[in-house]
Amino acid sequence: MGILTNADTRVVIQGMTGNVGRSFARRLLASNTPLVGGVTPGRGGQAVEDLPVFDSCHDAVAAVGANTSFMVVPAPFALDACFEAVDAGIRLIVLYIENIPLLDAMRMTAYARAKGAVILGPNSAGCITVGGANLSELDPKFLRRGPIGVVAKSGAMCAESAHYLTECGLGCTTIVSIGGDPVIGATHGDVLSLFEADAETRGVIMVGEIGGRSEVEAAAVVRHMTKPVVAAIIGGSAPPGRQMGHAGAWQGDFEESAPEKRRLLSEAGASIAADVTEVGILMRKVFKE
Amino acid sequence: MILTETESRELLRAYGLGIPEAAAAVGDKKTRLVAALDRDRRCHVLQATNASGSHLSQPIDPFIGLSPFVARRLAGHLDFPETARAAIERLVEGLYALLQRDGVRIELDRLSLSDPGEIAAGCVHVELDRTAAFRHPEWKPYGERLPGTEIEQAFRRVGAVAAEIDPDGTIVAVVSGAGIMMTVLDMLTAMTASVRCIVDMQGLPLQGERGMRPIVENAATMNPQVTFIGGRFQAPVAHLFAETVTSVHRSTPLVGQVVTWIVGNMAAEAQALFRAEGFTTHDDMRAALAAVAAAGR
Repeated sequence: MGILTNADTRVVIQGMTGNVGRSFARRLLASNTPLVGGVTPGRGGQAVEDLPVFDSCHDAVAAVGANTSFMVVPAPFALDACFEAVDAGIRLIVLYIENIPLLDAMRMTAYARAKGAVILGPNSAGCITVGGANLSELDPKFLRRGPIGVVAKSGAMCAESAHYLTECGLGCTTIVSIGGDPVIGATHGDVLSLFEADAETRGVIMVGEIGGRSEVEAAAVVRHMTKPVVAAIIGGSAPPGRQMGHAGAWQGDFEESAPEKRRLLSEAGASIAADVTEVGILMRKVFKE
Repeated sequence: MILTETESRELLRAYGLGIPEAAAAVGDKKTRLVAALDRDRRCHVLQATNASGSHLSQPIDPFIGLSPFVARRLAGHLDFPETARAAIERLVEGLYALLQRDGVRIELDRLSLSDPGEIAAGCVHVELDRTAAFRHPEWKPYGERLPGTEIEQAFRRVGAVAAEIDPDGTIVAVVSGAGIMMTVLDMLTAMTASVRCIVDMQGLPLQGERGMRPIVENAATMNPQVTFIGGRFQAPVAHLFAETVTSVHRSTPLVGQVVTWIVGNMAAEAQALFRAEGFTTHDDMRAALAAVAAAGR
């Protein structure tokens, strides 16, 4: 069906009683996501969109079998909320929130990894299995089901990649935004490995950007993949040291630059698109070859 | 947020890490201690460099924290007399403690031993995590100083992120999303377009006129030949965004030719509103940017 979510997925929204949480509850339900409730400490017993709100993730796991969280709590509360989710046995957490302190992001990602949970984000637009669960800000009506996996830091680049694949007559299995913050949970390489193991995915679009080493480490994964990877690296024309929208999108070492990431990925066997508008054309060409 | 040398020393003193200035004579030595958060390894790293330039780097497991043996190893790597080891170990512990208080990077360069046997540094740099400022009221003076050029600061003050590219550029691009910001700049650069500034609106379109007016005002102050507005909307709000922009434009006009690329939910309605205002509209990003580049020449 796709990666990260499956027929057993049962989603709670942490922070569902706030405006953003309520808005996402409506959107996720509208796209047939298996949303089973929400969690807001002190609001247990309330309901949002006719779904129960629980005081804790432990309560949500016990009462409705929650195993996935879409988190929209305010940044100062994210660390505790994440610890609670992982401790309760939640195995996939989408951190939609931005502006989480780096120290908190470091601690929550370390704890999740140690407990075998996957974190997307912070500052992730989420993930969607086309035709399945939607844990993202993407609207499924613009997406087409097909054999291509998409992974990008940016939610906008996820949407653009899907659009250009659709224009070329291709569609997506799962689309994953790993988030644009400096310290994130799942990396490009982690998601590429999941796509490599997914029977329905036949190729992967990877959009990287300047800053950090996620794309550098992904090159080592690409080298061992049997499925074709088309990669685009954005932000190459950014002035040195300047933040480009994402908190993590600024170039430090040479290895974090767009040309070097393109070179490493190309050497590993990925096809390199000049920009995101080319990813569909290039994937089609790779398939024909 | 990056502190000045004076601020760095003051902050360290306030946190119980007073570090005297090193004498000028030892200024050419490379001896240094660095404590930093490694974004990719998702852990803190402590590094000691001795006078011959040899590094010792120690990642710190978040579950274990700083063990005394790590402080001893780092202290032992520096070229100081045995009698100074305990002082260096205390310094390492102090730097790690600052990382636990949301420090991102602390560098002590040109380390030396002062007359009373204290560890002195010729240069001190501290970088703090701006996103953690909410739990550090003592950082307030630093948070008020924004990074970047004057125009970048103006956008940051209202909640947007801007990058000023070329002060003589003729194009100002205002877009929705960090990925679009980078892509638009890359594509315009590849088209040899003359970009003055590129702006990511962040969440401001959701705030209506209150959010968009300062963006339009700041864009207008740059007096561009072309203003580009672009974004793909997932939520059904593109028409509300267009209503806001055109409403603001009537009282605070966008400057120069206005080219738009708005797609996604309610995009047709948004494009109609923009066309009625005399803006050029496009469905395709590449075509829109080609038009922007041509108009900017």
